[in-house]
Amino acid sequence: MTYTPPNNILTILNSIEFQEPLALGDPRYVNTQEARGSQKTLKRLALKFGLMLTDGQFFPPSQKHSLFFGHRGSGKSTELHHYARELGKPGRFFVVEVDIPKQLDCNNLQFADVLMVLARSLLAELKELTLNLPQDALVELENWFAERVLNTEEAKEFTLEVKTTVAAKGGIPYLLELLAKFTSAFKSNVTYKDNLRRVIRNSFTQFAVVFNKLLETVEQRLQEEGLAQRVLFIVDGTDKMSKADTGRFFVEDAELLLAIDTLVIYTAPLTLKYEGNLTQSLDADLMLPMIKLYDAEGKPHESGGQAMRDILLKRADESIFTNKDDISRLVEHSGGHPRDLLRLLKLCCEFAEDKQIDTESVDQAIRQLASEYRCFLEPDDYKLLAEIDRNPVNIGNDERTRKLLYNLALLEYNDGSWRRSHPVIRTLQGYLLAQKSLTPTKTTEPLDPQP
Amino acid sequence: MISTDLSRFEFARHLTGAELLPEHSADFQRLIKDLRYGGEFQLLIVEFNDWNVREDLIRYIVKVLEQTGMTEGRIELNSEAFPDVATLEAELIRLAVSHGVVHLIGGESWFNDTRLDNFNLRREAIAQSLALRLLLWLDETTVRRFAQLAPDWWAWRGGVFCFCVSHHGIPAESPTPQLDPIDNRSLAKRSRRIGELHAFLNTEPPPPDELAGPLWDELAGLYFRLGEWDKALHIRTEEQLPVYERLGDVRSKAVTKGKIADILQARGQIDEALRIRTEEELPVYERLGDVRSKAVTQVKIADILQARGKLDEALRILTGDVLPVFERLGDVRSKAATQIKIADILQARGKLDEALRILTDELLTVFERLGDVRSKAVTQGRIADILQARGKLDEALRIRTEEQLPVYERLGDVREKAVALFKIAQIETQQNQPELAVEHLATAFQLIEATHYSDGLAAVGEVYGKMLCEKGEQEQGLKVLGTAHKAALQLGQSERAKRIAELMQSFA
Repeated sequence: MTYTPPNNILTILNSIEFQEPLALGDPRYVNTQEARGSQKTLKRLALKFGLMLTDGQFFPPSQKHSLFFGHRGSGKSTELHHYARELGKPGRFFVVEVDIPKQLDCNNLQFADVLMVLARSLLAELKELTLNLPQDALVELENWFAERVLNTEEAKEFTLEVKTTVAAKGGIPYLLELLAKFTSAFKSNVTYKDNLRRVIRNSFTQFAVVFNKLLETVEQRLQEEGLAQRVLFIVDGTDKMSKADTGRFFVEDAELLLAIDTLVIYTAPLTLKYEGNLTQSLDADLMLPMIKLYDAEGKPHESGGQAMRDILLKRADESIFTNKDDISRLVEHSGGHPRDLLRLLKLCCEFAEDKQIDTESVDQAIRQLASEYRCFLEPDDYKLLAEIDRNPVNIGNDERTRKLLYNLALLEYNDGSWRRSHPVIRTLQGYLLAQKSLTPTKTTEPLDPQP
Repeated sequence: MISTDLSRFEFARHLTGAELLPEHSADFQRLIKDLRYGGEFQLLIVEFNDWNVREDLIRYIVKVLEQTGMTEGRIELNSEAFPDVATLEAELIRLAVSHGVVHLIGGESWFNDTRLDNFNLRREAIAQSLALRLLLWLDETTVRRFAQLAPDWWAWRGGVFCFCVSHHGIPAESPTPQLDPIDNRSLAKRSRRIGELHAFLNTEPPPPDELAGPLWDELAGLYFRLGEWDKALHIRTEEQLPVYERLGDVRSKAVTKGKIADILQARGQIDEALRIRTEEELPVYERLGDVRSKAVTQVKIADILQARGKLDEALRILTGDVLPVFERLGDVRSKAATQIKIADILQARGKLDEALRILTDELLTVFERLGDVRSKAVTQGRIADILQARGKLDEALRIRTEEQLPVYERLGDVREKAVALFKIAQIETQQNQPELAVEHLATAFQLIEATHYSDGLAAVGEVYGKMLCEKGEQEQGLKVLGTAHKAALQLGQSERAKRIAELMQSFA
């Protein structure tokens, strides 16, 4: 059935859910690779894991843990779904997609939690695949649970829970039930959650050994069956952790993550890239750029504008706009940030008092989004943003710059080579004053200055 | 086809918004829209700086959401009742069972850094487990603190709404009265305008009478068109008339009395309306030599005669006295409005071709040229009447639903909307769709009851009450018939009153 975008304001308002990435096959998906200038992102990603996409040559490394950076809401999750499809073609990778926010409490996350979810997701995929593993393949993992976790004093509450509720006696079903108990405990914030984490941490070396063995066996069986060469975990949602958890997960516990001999892609927040304290062993140079509306010299980037326009018009039929120029204005003011484009559309629907979105509603939406940015900006932020706009080439990072990147007040384009302030901020009085106070040279034109 | 709940809700949303400070109106409308149409879980940040305003706003929100059946709860955040985020979460879970909206009050002092951090940590868990719209009422400082200290949490917001009050006492700018007889303002614009007018007219000290008179007039007119007849009558008698008395403005006083008569006439107080027109309005215009105003009053008198079945006399006044005056004055709009009434009488007398000719060949073009969407919709309604009488039901229904109803909904014209719904129900009855017809009659009757529009109560009540009784809902049906009977008696519609009495007897 052909997809028709909604043409009713209330339906559009009801359907805008910018926390949810688009699933594969969602008719609202727009290919943004050219628009981001990121045609090479997937190719580079594949190469990192030993796959030449152009001719199919494949020499995977023994292990690689890659971070995939991007602004919050820039479309990382949606893009990863599409990468997974490409990388998971027969004979390539056995892709295990892990959606962290769905399985764990993203706001209180440690490596132990993620480790258990990786194991659970792998076993769940294997169960679906009905891949016959050697009889003893799971025994060591079962033993690790029995000896190192369930028998400990610290995990006694958890053990009691397992004894009374886990029905399966062995194999994948047993491990799946057990791991489900772990993830549910981590997610539901039970009192013994920290004890459990400590138990896993204390016996982590043994876990790494048995899990690596299991992975090796699985990969061997996948190769024998001609299904895939290697297992590849795509872990989404690790960019949504709190700042403290992010540091603990990717910096303090990085060596623990690296002890797992596998191929993994983790999503990571952009600020982490610039904090300069990541271990060298983590592969941390790949980022999903924003959709470019202009190039660094200020020349319009047509494919970027078109992609953003397509994103908007897949959510709302063109007929909903009384003035078609307003579509371009919304795109302009999004700065190439898909979530902010949707936020602007939502605001338009809120402000519109007729059956269509008129120019007045678009003006109000832009003003409202700008005033929401104003909430957290400090006087010196405007000065820095105006300075960066005058010289958008990335010349380094200090704490204020990182904060602005984190809050999306500053957007980064072309794999981070240049930056520009969010266009709605350029309409604010604070920015205009800061811009005026700079010594006169070439400056970025403000968009619709606001009194 | 037509969502009756939706339009009732929209109407309540706009009229309630009109009672707020003008600068709060847009955010209130937006907030209510989100609560009603947005996702099941939402975290909405509401900024305020005056406790009284906050309490008023909560009352207004309750009032509008009553239309949707959504119930509201309230949590006063304090350290004794809620020592930590976990206890708050437990209370939210409890409230979510029976509430759609919860107001969180007192966050400014309750959200210390630890609680803010913990709330941030639990946000997704709360969102996933609750179908609840959370309104977090905070002052400006706390909103800024949230945005700065918890950017993840901030990125997750469903919306930010500002209801801050300026305490600097900046005098409101005097609004310019909008006296254009063609008023195509949408319901949203009308409600916003009501707020602006209230804000200006209720300032201390009050604005001078010369300025206030036309603005009270506009305000009463807005209320009248929106079906708020009590408010309109109150303004006309208690605010506007005294202004013109103080100014000694005889003509404006007579015009205002005419507008009071409009309200009384619409409510079925025909005798009193007729008395005002003939004794207090017409003589003034005659004395002043104001032929146009006299002709306008004569049209209203002809309306009363027509309603009482005196068609010949009404037709004579319209064609013999009124039409030549408007022609002589070159007043195209008033002439067209008179022609609609002439077409009505011709139609009532069975002269359908002649009525249709006037409506389609003369009037539609005039109103289109004038850009008067309301009068054009009224004319289209008359055309639909004739098509219906000739059995062209599909086309008549199309005009009603696609051309007429959207205009009245946009303008917030309750009376005309109720009439259109009544006519739609008649067509649906003819098309053998009684269920749809009853649904539309119910909405029409509800709108009419709210405005005390007597003619509508009698006409719609007769049909609606009968249909309810026929489908077995006798108690409700007899109640509606009783209301219709009373209205018909009040209007002097003796034949209808007799018919309704017989119906009541047969179903009793």
